[in-house]
Amino acid sequence: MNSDQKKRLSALFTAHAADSLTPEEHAELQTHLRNDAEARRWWFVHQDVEIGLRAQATAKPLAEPKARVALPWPSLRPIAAAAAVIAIAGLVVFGMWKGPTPEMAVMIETQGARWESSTLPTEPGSMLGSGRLRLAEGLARLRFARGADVTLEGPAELELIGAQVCRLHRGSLVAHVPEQARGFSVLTPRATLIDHGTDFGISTDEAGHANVQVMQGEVELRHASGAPPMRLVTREMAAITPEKLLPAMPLEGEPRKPSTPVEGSAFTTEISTRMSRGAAAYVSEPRTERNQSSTLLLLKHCAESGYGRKVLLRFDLAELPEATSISQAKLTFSLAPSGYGYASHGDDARIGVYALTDDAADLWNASAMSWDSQPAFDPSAGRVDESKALRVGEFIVPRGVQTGHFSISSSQLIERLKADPNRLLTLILVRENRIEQGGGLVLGIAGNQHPTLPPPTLRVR
Amino acid sequence: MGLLTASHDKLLGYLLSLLGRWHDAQDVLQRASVLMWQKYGSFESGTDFMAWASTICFYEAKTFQRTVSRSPLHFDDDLLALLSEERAEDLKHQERRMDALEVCFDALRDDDRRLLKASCAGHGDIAALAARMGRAPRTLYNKLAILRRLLADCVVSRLQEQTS
Repeated sequence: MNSDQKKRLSALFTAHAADSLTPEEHAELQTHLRNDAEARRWWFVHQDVEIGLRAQATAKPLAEPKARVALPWPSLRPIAAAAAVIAIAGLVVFGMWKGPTPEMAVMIETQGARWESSTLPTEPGSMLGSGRLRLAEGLARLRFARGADVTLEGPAELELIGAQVCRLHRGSLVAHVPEQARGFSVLTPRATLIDHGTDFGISTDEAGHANVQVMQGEVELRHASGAPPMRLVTREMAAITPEKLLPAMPLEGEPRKPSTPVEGSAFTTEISTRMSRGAAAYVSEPRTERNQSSTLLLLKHCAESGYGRKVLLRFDLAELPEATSISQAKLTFSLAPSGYGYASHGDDARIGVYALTDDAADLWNASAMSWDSQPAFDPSAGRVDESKALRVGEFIVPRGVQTGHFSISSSQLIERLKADPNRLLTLILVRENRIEQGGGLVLGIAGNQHPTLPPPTLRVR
Repeated sequence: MGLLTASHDKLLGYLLSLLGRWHDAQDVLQRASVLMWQKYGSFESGTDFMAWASTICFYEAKTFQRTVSRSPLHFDDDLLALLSEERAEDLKHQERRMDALEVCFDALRDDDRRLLKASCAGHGDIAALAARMGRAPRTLYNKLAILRRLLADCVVSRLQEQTS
């Protein structure tokens, strides 16, 4: 194929793309493509160029070329100029409305990565939109659309919010932010890091204890308390507590982990619903005959009546030595797919946890219990009778998530552990927000008979 | 179905070679994605995802041309089959072409880069873009065709450099 033929074909391709071929030209294009393998190859290259171009166009928005206002009628010039200004303004608005593509980042590579229930694809090469990545272990490197290069270190949970912003819920990440991605921001539970062109690392826990190290460049830290922002420069680090930013210090050779008061190892005792007089069960609305489980505790609250399910747990607090001196407590659940319903229906599930205060009802018998004879009964699958139970916490199961570990810690829970008179603690779990769409997901929490997952567990110190 | 996301550009490239028009290819890929979600059970994991997905795309493209497309000018069935077969093989070059394109694109003059971006952003409506810029549509078509050809030439020659 000589260069004239290539030119002719390129012109035909462009006209075809714009749907402006005449029938004759269309026939000409077909003939070339049918008879000439080189022409086909050239056709394919043009399409890959097109895909690459579109990616470039959405990656870095640029202003449209200036209008040429060279009209032959001088008297019309001002009008034309005004029209051009309006047109360009319209384009700017149009450009904003088009916005960036939903893809905010791409997964570049992973090393030894084991994922928990992420709401985003995790294979290298995947385009990532908004959602959460939960990395149990290993490393995952992603590049945000504006160029920030982020390596997530498991265990960690990262939420993608935009091409320039993410939220680190827990764990660590290391970021390299090139010039064009200046302004890249990492939100943590209590502070925001805004990059000014750097290499930095940040770790946080869910409560908002965090550490920031700047290897190179400069970052700005802002705290949710409203304290004045702080700048960290090359080889400086700072700690963040839930209350405030601590002063900058020279970077140490080895970053410390966030100083967390509640660590797995910090707990001295744990009990589960499997121990002693403990129990774990769920109750279904009377019409729910099918879709039951012997290993999972099922939970649902939906608009259709007859499908509600609530979970009841009993912990034998006699197993806890020196309960009056409990200073920390964490209650952990392990989720597993129930196989019932669609995970994509409904929003994030808000699971309320209630402690029964009606001590006379603590000795419930799972096999003899019916929907309306359950403790602190309220006819709604999303509520309990709050004259007989006290709300001690909640946890959120993101939409689409059916596995992983979820915990609550609260002062109300600690108070109840210290004060429960008969040393039997009944907890009732309900999904508080209703699924409005039919066929919604039944959440499954590992119960006492689950073959591999731990039952609901309470850790204290 | 992370596979679908990961194969997005490949499937789009495949459909473009059958349809030639960006928005038609996007439209068909959207329809095919829905089908793929529904039929995912019939995909045996471990087998060739692209082969499975491109088959769905192929039939969806034909349905689209028959029922939805506004343009009467389509490739005939023989040509579609030929393009489909060759493009499936050709897609192994796509990633390197797109890498090369980044370099080629950056080497263009600023004005040309802007023009290309604007033409991609505005739903490919060249006539409207020409009107906004106060230029004749024909001139703009020609300019865009030339730029695309230059980029395609640049991409091809870069890949030849790499392999030689």
